[in-house]
Amino acid sequence: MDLSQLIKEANQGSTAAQKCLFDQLSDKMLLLCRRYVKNREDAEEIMLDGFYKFFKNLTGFHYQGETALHAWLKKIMVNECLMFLRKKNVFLMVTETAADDIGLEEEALNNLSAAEIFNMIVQLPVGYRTVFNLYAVEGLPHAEIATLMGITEGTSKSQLSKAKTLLQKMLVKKGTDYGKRKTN
Amino acid sequence: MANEKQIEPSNWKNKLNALDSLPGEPVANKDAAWEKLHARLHEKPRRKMAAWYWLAAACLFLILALPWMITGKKDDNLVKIKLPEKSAPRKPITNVPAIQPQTAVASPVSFVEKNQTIKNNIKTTHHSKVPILKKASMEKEELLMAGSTIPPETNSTSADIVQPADTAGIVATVAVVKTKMRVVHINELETSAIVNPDQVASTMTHSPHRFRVSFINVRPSNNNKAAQHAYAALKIRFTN
Repeated sequence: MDLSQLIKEANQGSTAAQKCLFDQLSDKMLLLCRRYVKNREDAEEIMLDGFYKFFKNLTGFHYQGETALHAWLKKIMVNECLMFLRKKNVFLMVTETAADDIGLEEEALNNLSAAEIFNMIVQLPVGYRTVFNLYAVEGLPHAEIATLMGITEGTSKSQLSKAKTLLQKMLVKKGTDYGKRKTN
Repeated sequence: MANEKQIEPSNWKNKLNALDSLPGEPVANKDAAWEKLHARLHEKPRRKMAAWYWLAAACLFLILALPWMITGKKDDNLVKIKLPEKSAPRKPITNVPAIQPQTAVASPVSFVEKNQTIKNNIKTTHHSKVPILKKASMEKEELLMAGSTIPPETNSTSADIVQPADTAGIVATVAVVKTKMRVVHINELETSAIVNPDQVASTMTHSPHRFRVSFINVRPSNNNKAAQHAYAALKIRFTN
């Protein structure tokens, strides 16, 4: 059964269709939440909150393809993650400081697997991680990131550069370790 | 910033979005998560009371409680206990002898009789409404003083004293006389014995309360001759 049919039946109140949608989309949404919130249990709660809002507002959604559905669901999940982080007052610790002048080799990221990239992002501090996810992965501008996080645009930019610096260092260390393993 | 290059939507981003699970991690329990979600989706929404509802309830409570709070403050005075009015008027008490002043040492018998007469006098003289606490204290004081002092004489020696019709003035006495005994003054005994010795003898034999009278003359001190002649200390023993 394709997504459009499932959404139609879910709108009519079919519990089976709702469960099918949940089973198809829950894994990706859980990993998305875990990129923002490191703790697994918290990520599961946020995912359930997001799906609750998804099903409650599904009647007003006009299906235009699988990509649009995924994008809409991702937006709901990201908002839930940011709300969770705002409640914890995590963004108060984010300050604007000068970043090291080290760029990120994006091509090096292409050589890594999805799981390795995921693990590297999760290791970043919460402020760096959030800005990197919103800018580099979700593609939001700094102005919107600043509004969502309650920080200034300059802080958003500095946080991003710090995140890239850290990731580069991780890549270098990984490459060194990879080089050592290769030689051995 | 010059160092900041726009990260191209390259493979690594697509790889990350396509990631379903992490290798080496346990599979998430979807059924349990779905049960939670299903329960939340189908639970009944709580009725949220509007703020105005609570405000209206608070105002209503104040309106109802205000009169009660105001009336509660007014009752600062002592509570006056009023006995219920009796329909039948009390029988008039007749032949209440006047209490003659006595300065001799009070005997137990005369002390009891004096208390009874004092109480009767208190009843007859009180016509106004007096708080019960004041009367109780007055009665206590009078009882204490009865052994040393004698209450004032009544104006009439044998007048018919009628209980006041205003039963509202009647106040419950503190001491309750359990056994109703005929109050008899010692002088009355003497006079009755002199007038009707036979009657006295019969009452003495047939009355339930037999008593033996023994007269003991206690000679007063030599200094007070008047006392020697006028007064004789009597010691009467009552035996039932």
